[in-house]
Amino acid sequence: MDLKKILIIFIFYIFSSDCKSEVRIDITEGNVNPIPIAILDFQNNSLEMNSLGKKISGVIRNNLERTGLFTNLRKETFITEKVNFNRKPDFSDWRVTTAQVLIHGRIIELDNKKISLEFRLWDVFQEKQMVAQQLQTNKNNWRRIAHVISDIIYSRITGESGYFDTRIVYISESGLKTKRKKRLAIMDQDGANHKFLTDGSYLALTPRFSPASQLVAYLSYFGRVPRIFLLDLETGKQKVLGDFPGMTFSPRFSPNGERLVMSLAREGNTDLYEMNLKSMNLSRLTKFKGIDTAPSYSPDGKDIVFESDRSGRQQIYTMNLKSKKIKRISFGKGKYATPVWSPRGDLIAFTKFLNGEFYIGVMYKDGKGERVVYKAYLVEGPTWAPNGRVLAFYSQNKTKKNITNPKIKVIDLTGRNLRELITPSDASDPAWSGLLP
Amino acid sequence: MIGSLFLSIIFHSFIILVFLFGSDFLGLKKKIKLTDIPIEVVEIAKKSEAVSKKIEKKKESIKKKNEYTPPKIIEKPKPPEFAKIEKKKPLEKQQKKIKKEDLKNEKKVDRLSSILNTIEKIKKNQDKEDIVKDKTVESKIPDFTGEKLTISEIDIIRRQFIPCWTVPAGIKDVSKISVSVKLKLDPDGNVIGSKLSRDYGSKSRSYKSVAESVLRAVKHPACKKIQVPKKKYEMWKNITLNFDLSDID
Repeated sequence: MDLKKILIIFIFYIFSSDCKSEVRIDITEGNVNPIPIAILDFQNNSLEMNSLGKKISGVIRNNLERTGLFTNLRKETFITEKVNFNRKPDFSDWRVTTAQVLIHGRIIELDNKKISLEFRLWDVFQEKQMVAQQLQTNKNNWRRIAHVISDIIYSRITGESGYFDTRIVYISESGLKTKRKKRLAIMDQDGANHKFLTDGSYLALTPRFSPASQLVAYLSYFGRVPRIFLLDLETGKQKVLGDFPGMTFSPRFSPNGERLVMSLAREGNTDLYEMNLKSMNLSRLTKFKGIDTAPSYSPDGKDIVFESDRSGRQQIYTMNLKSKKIKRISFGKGKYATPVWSPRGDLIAFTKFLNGEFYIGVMYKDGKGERVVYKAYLVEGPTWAPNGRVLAFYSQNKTKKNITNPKIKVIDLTGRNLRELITPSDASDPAWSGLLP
Repeated sequence: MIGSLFLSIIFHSFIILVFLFGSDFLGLKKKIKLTDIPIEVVEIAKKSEAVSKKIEKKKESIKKKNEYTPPKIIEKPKPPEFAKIEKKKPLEKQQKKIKKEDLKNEKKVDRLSSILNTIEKIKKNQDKEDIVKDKTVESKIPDFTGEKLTISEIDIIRRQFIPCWTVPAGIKDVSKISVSVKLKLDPDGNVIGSKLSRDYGSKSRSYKSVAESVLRAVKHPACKKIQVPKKKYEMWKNITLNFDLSDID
């Protein structure tokens, strides 16, 4: 009986395996062109609301276009510019335009102050609705709602969280090189809503955003003594964290915003220290003769990455905060500096100096897969967008006549999509906030 | 005791018989054939033969040139007689006749029917000729029906999907993701069905994003109809495409 069963199973297996012999083709390459998208203006019958709808869809278009992942199709190519919000679009009309994704919506005035926005995101090829949402806000908050919608669209298509509803603090530079005025300034990630946070009467350097709150830490030289300020962007109040002689970089916040990690020069040696912001206790992390500096937390707060010259040349090291185990991760040529751990945890951005040029690169947390995303005469201060897919930094180029002024640039991980942020004056030391609460 | 021994002998001999002669019956040989790859080698050999023949011919012509023999005047081949009779003349005549008939208001019905009959005959003859031609052409092309797709044919299919797939580069763990999609094609090469091999419901957001990009690729208008060797429909009516990002960084 058992033999019969085995025989039947055996025969069945042979025949079934024969039937399964379908062709399997591996596709290991594709195109890297941006996805064509069609974004229609948000509709309303009143002129005022209609123009506001146009502004909102304009901001969304700019946001998505800047990522380099999407390309906006021109309105002239559309067969229709109006899509009934409550009906399924005629997808054949949109396939003709080569649009892979369609976004349309309407804007409704709730009262004198409030507006409601409803939008739908369609996959044109699959003829499938991807997102349908309604959002409400104050009229004068329309830019923010445009950023939030951009984040929703970006997140749904790419699978990564967005980074449009964020801000960037940076150092605004003006004046002669011998008498440089350095002020702390802030703007939206697209350069809008720019404002200065300090008046320039004292030097401000290397601002750092708290990932969990609207706190900014920055270094300021007051009477030639480096001093750390903590500025609350919501209240506008700031407090002095303390005087830190020999400090060259501002401290970085832990992911939950409760701790700070910094390098301090004490007793003739620069080592890493951690400060608890509640108790204000300072604990020493490293004890080595070389210079350990520029520490940055991992997104889970359990490890740090830092630069050190303990091997004779500046290299990147990681350290587990519990076991205090240190591991060197960079082994390439040149000097590695200012490592910053990606908010999504997989990569570490760094600067490298090699053969008279500076590089911005990324490597995996174990040091593997090192690659350059940008190089110039001078590139410094990499900072991650909260989704860990885009980097901001500042750079200067050398021309035949002179060296250009510092400007903030934004680049994605592929290194293909480089953009310059427009600022009122020269700009350096950017720090990207987390997504706004 | 004797009974069980007897049963054991029967079963053992049955297993031996299965191993000796059962391979044909169970299709084992067929399976062995499937793992064979020399189809490609045969093709390449044929191609190389064809090339070598050409080269030989060229060499011969070069030799002839070296011998300084004047080129022979080749007479123009005469058109085959049947073509004169069956193809051109009758058609022209019939057409002229048809025109004449039209002008005469179609009074001579008998004549017209005879003309129609002759046209039908001509058409039939032409069809026969076409069939004969097709048969002679087909007899020259090796019949691959029922055989596996060659590597070059698979490559042609593969290359058609590349421009349709927008790679979601830069996402987390991109190099660890591969998405398989099963396609169903009709005999003309139209994609009539697509389904992911595994549902992405429980997978990561990155996987979901890649899976959606894959589904967009196979539904891209440019990839709606695929160029395929039509004779081998049985081979490609179901295709599994495996979109692998391990080489993409």
